[in-house]
Amino acid sequence: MDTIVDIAKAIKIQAKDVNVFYGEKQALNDVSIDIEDRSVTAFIGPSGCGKSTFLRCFNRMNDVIPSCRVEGSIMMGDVEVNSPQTDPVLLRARIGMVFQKPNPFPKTIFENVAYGPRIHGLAQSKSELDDMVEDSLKKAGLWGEVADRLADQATGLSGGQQQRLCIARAIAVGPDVLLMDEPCSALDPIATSVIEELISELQQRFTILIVTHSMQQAARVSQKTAYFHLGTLVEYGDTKDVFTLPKNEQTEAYISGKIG
Amino acid sequence: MDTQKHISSAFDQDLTILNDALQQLGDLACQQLEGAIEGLAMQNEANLDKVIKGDAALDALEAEINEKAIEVIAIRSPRAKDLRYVLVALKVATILERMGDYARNIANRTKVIMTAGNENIPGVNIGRMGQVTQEMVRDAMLSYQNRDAEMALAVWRRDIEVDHMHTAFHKEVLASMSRNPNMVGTGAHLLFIAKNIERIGDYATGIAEQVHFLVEGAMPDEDRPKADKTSKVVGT
Amino acid sequence: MSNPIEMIQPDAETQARFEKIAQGLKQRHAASRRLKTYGIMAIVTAISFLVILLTTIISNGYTAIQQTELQISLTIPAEKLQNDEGVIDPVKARNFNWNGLIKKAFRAEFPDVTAMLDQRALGEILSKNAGYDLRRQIEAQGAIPAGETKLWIKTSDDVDMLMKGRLDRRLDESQRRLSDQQIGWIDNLVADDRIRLVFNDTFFTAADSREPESAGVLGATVGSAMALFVTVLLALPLAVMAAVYLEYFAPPGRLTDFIEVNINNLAAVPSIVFGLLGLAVFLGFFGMPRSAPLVGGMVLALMTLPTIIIATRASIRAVPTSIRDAALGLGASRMQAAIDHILPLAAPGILTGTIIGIAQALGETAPLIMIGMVAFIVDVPASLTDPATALPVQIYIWSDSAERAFYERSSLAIMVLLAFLITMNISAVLLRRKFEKKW
Repeated sequence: MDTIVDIAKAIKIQAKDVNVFYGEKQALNDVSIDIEDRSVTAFIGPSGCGKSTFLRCFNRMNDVIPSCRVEGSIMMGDVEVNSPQTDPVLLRARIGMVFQKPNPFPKTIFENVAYGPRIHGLAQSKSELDDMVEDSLKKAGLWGEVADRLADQATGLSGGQQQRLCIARAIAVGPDVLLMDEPCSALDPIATSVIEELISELQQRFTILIVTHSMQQAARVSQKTAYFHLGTLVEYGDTKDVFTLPKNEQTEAYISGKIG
Repeated sequence: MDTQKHISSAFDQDLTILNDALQQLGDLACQQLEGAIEGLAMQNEANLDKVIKGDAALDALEAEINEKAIEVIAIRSPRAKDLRYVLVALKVATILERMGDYARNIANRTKVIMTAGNENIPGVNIGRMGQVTQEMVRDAMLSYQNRDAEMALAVWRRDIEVDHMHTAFHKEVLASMSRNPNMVGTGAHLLFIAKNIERIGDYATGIAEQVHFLVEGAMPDEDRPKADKTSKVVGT
Repeated sequence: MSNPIEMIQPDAETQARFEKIAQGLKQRHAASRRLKTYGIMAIVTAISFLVILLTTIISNGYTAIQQTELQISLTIPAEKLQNDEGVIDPVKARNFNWNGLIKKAFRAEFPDVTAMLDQRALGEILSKNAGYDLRRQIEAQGAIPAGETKLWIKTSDDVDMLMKGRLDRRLDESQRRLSDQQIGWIDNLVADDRIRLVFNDTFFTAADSREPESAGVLGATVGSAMALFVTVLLALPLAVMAAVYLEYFAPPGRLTDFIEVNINNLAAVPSIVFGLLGLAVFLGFFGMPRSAPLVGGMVLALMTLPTIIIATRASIRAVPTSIRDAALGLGASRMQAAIDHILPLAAPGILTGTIIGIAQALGETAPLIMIGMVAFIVDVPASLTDPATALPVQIYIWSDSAERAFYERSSLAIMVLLAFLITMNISAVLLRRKFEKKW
């Protein structure tokens, strides 16, 4: 029947003993996880369990919060993400982010996608920039809908389209990792399905980490699932196993809707 | 399969895998049944052994289908038609596997009869019964493939034919056994074989009921026509 | 409808609870109504004061929009003004006794006025600057009208007041500015249709003058405009840069808090203190020219700085953090995020704050007085360092003066100032509304 052979995938990012503090309060305890290359890894867990905090560690977005302190190691290749020597600006060109509420810039659709390549100096000429924008919009599955109105305001698009625009904007910079923080929670079910299908396609090119409060979404979309509870990583494994035969009782309780 | 695709292509893929596996299981079950009936008629030991060995494949395939169906329910949260589809797939797989078991049983018993060496087997009715049952199984699987509720109902109604034949054959064997005491051993096995074939017929109607449930959302309304009076037969 | 639907009625306990609530309801509604009444009374009081204020100003000022003129027939001796080519010689024109010419022509129309005193009284009906005005008019025309022409000449401010009904005829002659005799001549002119009220364009085209009929607000308006120009030029960039520093670069700590507190306090400092600062530092230490719009603008800039800084910071903070996050997430540096995204979105708020700050500065009098913009300036300032005055200061000067005519002119000047202020505030509101629609 299934002729899928489980290929052991390479590790893209390795997090070791990550602890995060907001002032005195500890938000994450000794989290260690190996993220597989070119898979979708879902972080699930009840509200306040630290999954979004952990996600933001990967691209140093926690730096923006003054009281936040991140300890531990996050290695991507030979780059230590959490080191003061690492320039967050450079890091964020390699690790892109899509946020919960679609947040396109109040500029034209073209300008939104072109901003990233522009500030990093990726395009040598106007036509090269045009190509990059077109390519990103195609990869995000939005080109067909906006090709003839690139000069329109991005804020005029629907919610689902805006989020796909944000995805296009993120991938225009050419990252190898995409962080998605509850990307569908502000969208209707159809738009959500479209984005989930897009994630399945993107996964062939990018390593995707997605935080979601919907277990069903995690089940549909990811290959690996990590369950967080009160700042601790409780279980991490293949999505199939986590949802049919979890190893940990707490995971079982959360999955079956007994806690949360 | 439904003509409209899911937005999630992976979902469609899963359902295709399930469907293909069931088709495969259905084909195997039909093959097993055919082999058993033919083996009974021809009394060819090689064919019978093939049937006996072949059952393992059905068991394995049924287990795989179970696992896949559980996975689909856990991961895809199917609703409405999709949900009925997965549940029906589970049930039909079980039924097909049981049919395979009966086919194997028929083959085993045929071999025993062969060692007894009795030439006098009233084979006419049983041959006919086997034929009709095979047709019912094929039609049931066809109705499943085509989501044809009408065809399923036709299968469902045909079971009475098999029941009649079974009752007749049952009487015949009893008569034969009472006439010829040597026949008792063979006769007993024949009775079981006939019962197995009749049960396979029942299973075929079971599949037909599931197909009706899949398409219409409910089991068939009418009472299933039954005419198996063997439980009432005492002797000649 | 087959079966009427049976509606379930609330049970006794629920009923009792509703009764209790209903009882208290009367008082609650009454209290709301009382509060509404108090609110309306307060607004009515405020509006009536406003109405009284505006009515007073308008009733005092509306007449200043007109100026009295009378018609005289005179012949201008071209030969005394032109040079050999027939062009007006400026030196001759300056030396010519225009006033004399006019007075002679005027007296000629009252042949029965012969006594010296009486003739002087007759001459007082005309504006003291009549000759000057005529000379400017002829020079502007470039040609001298041939023969006898009828010209309209401005009257003195007392006659102007009489014509506008602001001079009480019933007063005793000794208490009036115009004698019965003069009033009689004026009435004659009225009967002959040789005296009229026309639009007072001098008010809008001239600078200050000793004579009310020759005085205007142009000088003060230009002075104000120049000062405000300097204010915006200095205050806006400084304020925006200071706000950006405080928002993005200032390390959190005691020093930054100290700076912030002080900026907020500066916004409440009385404006005259800034005037003293200007006097001591700009005029005293740096020796900059007194009464110059440049200095006035610098002082006003210091005053407006805190307002614009506070408005800028509020606008920057009003930009949703999602925009900042999006920019940072793409790998923009903090500065790029600020300049590319946040400042453009904060711009409407900054603009609104600036306009409000400027509108405030427009009405400030005390600091400008301290740095000397209170002098009597008869020329419209031509550069930032020319002595000038400002509109509110001009109003102050005029309202101090004894002449009745200056009183009405200062009221009109107040109306002009109010018009500017209202325009600026309305444009601030409109701008804010226009940009708020964007997101």
